[in-house]
Amino acid sequence: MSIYTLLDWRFINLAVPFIGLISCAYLFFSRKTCTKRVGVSTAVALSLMFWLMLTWADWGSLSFVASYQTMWARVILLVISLLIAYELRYYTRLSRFLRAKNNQLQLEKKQLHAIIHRLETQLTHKDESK
Amino acid sequence: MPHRIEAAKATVTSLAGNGANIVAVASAATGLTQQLNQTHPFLYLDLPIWLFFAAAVILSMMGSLVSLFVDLMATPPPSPARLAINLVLGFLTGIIGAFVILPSVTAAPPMPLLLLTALSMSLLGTVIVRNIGEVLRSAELWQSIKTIIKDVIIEALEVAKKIAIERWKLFLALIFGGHSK
Repeated sequence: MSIYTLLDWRFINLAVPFIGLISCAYLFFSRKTCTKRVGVSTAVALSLMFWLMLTWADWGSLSFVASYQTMWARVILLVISLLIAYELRYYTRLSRFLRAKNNQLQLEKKQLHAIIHRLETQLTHKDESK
Repeated sequence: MPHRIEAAKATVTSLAGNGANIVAVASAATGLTQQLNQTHPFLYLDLPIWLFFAAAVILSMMGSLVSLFVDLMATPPPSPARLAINLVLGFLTGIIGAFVILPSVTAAPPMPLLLLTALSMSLLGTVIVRNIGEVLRSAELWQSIKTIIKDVIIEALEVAKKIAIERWKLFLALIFGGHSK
């Protein structure tokens, strides 16, 4: 198969839904993207469904005719879903970073409280000794 | 005596008819087995069609089991009863997707498409069934959905009202020659 066959618009038209299916599966199973929220997981599941339905149109339908325009529409849909996946990944990383920082700050706050308490007790002891 | 002969005749004919029915059913069954043994090309192999159906059922089970590794199902792990219900419903979604929805919305589905549909529909079916259950069970989520819908409707009505008033002003200005402000 030469590079010209791979870059033929019909081939791209057939290949894009499978790339979309793989990207959705990656979103579901990757540890670096959090799809725990109800809205996000429903959206990913439904996008899995629409990529699946595009394969139905390609391989199972007798009336659907692919064209240059459907190829471009699919490529743009793929780009949009990849951008959304990238954003999701970024916000997952951000929220993990912020949670780690928050835990660290909580720990420091506890330690500071302990130090202040110790100092206060020492001061009161000094006052009593005077 | 003659009525007994008649009864015996009727019995014999009914028995014969029954036997003919059984033979017809058996021949239909052999027709079904013949149909199930017809071959489809897949990966340069001519495989019998029942193998694809069995593979679709197994792939549905695999899809619903694989969904255990999705973030939604993994953290926090649901109770065993709810998990079992989710997995069974996901499996049923895969079966329905592959054997009911796919043949009804496509004219000539090839066998690899059936297998892909069984796998994907059981995976996404498990997730969607769990989410629908979550929304129905949690009063808070349901309330938030209702609030969102209410807010959107109110906002749309406000925009429509604003546009209508502006257009009405323009119309009045057009008719009476005033200035539209």
